[in-house]
Amino acid sequence: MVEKRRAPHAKRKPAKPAALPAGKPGRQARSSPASAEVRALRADLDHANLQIKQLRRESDDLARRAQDGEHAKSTVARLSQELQNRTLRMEQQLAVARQFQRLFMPPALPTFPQVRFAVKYQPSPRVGGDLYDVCDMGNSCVGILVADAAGNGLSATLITAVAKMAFDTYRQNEYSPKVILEKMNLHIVRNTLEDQFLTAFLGILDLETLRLKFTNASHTCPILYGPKRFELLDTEGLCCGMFEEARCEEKEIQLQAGDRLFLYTRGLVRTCNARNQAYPDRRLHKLLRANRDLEVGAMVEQVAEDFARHLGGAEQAEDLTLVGVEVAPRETKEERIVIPSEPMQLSRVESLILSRLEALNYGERVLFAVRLALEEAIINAIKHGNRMDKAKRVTVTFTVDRNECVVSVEDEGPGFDPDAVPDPTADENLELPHGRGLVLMRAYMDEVSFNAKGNRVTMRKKAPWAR
Amino acid sequence: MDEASVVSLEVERRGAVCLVSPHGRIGEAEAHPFQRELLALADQGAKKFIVDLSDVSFMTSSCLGALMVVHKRVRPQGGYVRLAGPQPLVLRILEITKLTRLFGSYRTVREALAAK
Repeated sequence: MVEKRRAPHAKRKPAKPAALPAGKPGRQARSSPASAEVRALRADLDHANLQIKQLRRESDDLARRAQDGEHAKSTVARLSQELQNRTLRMEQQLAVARQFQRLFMPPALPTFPQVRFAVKYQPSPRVGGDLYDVCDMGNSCVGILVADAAGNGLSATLITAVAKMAFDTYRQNEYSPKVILEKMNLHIVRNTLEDQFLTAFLGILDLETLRLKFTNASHTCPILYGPKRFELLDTEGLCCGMFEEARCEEKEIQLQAGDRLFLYTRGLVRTCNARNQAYPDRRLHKLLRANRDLEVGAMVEQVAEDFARHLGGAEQAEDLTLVGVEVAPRETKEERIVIPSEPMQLSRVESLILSRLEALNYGERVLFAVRLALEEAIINAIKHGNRMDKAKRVTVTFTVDRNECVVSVEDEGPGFDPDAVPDPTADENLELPHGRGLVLMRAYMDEVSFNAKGNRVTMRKKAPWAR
Repeated sequence: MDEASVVSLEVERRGAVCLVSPHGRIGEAEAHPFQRELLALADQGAKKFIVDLSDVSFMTSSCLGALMVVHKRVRPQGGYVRLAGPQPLVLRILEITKLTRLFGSYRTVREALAAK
């Protein structure tokens, strides 16, 4: 509603009307002073009328604008609702994309006596386009694929889907990574849009000769490192899915027992933290070199943890895929795995050591015994040694060969005197809620010994046929 | 302590006796929830427990500790914790720790129910 306004001052001040001569009637001669006054009055009146008309127009205008304002508000409300709906739909699409993403990854990594694999796959909330595969190719060959599709969201997922299907198809009965990637390239070019492509590294390892054939199609170079070498694996080759005529190069390299391969995707080296720094190559190389004796799964975890430390709280904008490969040494080598003092970490160590025992057919009784002794020793280390302090670690070292299994568990606590522990099987101690761990370890393992400080226990169990 | 661990078990009342049947392994992760379940039953008035171990494939001293806590809770009230049907590998654990004497271990649930 527009308030009525008082008439603004006119531009021309009205002349003060002269008083009419008193007593005289209305009719005046034209040129008399009275008619001039009337004319002046009339002019002022006309002017005032004009102003009133003007005011009326303005007030109508304002009323119309007010109406438009209401209209504008409702438009904004409608558009923001629309935006919310679209965002929701996009989130739903991303959720679908995420589910698909999981389908492309192998459910489990194959196991071979000569070579060990581990993978750390951490998809980004934005749904990136990482792809990896470790597959038995037959003829004693294993294929190792790591790939990274451009972009994210549904587009990246689609590229990954096409690439995965192409890989599964073209690797059948084919042992040249160059041939496989070139066929994949053609397939991806023809089945995706212009700006859809992916980088890829494909290695095919002959498990008998330990020769590795590989082709790198613009992917982050895997690192091959061992006691006597440290090199990046690169070849000529454009991304898959860019040009039909693209050709790539294939190289071959001889691996030795003890060599390790570390493969990864762009997410590791391109994501920046809050200080706009990417994870430096130097840091990665140093970490890999310093931990050559770390069990390959533990090594991959360690890189992931170091990367998380570098990232701080920043968002992981791209998928992270880390693949570790270890060529098993012929002689028995001691392996090491380090866990924080959390009981939940126990299963990691357990499955690792027990899988080695299973692979050598140690049998159910020995597996039971080692599982029990290991659990007791680790829980003791966490609860009594490290007093449940998550900052303190438990280091488990082990060797498993055809003769025996040897496991050591060390905590970062002050140690204890194992001989001073009361015997829980004595009548007076039977009702104690704790203390049976040692008894069980000694009963189930062939040998249990402690270091002088008392924070490291070593247990040995002979293979059933060696008893 | 990880609250997300769960031990799978069934509970059945047979008169004054509470028959508890856990499944799978009762190691470190499962012992605490197991103990909580039994103590919750004791809170509701259960005093006589028979734990059917026929489907338990593995246990550690944490499980023994849990059973011990329950035993000490119900014993003064005239209750008991009896173990029934342990698998051979699990029975050995009970024998080594001499807990078969304390809890009472029976070959079957029926024998455990019938015992005085």
